[in-house]
Amino acid sequence: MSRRVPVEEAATVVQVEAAIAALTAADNARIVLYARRLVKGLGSTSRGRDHKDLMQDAVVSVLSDTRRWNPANVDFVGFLCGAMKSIASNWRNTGIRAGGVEVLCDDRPSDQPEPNPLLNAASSAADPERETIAKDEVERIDRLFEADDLVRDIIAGMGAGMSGPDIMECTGASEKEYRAAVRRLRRGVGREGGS
Amino acid sequence: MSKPGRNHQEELWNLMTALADSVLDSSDEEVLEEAQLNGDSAESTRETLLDGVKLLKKQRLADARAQYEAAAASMTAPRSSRIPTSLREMRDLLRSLLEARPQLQPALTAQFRDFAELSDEDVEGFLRQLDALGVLDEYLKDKR
Repeated sequence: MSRRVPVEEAATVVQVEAAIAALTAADNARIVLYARRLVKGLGSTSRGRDHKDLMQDAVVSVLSDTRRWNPANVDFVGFLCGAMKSIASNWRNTGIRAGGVEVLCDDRPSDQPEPNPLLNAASSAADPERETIAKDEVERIDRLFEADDLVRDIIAGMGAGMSGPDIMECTGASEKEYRAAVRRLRRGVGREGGS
Repeated sequence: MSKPGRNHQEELWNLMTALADSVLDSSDEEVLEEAQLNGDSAESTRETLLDGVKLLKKQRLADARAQYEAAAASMTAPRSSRIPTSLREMRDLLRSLLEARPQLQPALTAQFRDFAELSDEDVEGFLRQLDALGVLDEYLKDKR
């Protein structure tokens, strides 16, 4: 069960600035890659927002009452990435619920439970234009790896929400082979998609 | 060929969140190389994150300014008929209001001091703020 961080233990602006200043080059790379992948996953529900918007919103949320960071207990990179995933998920749900209506922000507090995913799945499938854009993107990624069966299996498995160990079990790939294939996939997606 | 009934939006989201998560346990060399492929430098990422801090500071400043302006407006607005004219009556009203609404006590002590130490200006100022917030009106209606 998660415990809300008391105000007196939450990071101050100065502590967050110090944490950002202390990030290594690899930490920065992880954060920006994480943000880029999430925004790509949003497809048209990103509504023009990019990975920089996501990173900035995450920093704001870390310092606001919606999501407090306890620097004594939690690693900054992991916390920031968790915040980005939650925000991106909120953007996605808002975009799906809004349908064709322009919505600029989701005012629901980030720690509020997300709506029933089954309802989201039903409503997202009902929007043919968004579905077509996502279909094109999934198929475009799949075509990049026409000659790489393991990567194509991983695309299918991840798309279906399978975990890494489950995909390895189904494909018979070793951990080393799986990790190498995921790396090929990430590099391909990054290089071709411009994000 | 795509199978009918597939939800590609869900698939794309699942795929990209899994790829995002895979970044967290990749080696430093791998992530540095991938970030470079996208043209992302450590400096530009740090700048973007610090822009988020600046954004928050601006928001806080705007909030503080709005609160200040509301408080200033409540002080310069004509005294409403709900606020008594005599100082004794003002103190009595504030005391009875705080007894009836103990949840307001922290707001008072955060802005001012203990009730006994409140100056006449503090008493009037706090009543004006409560009046501007509609608390005074509500209290007087309940009292009737």
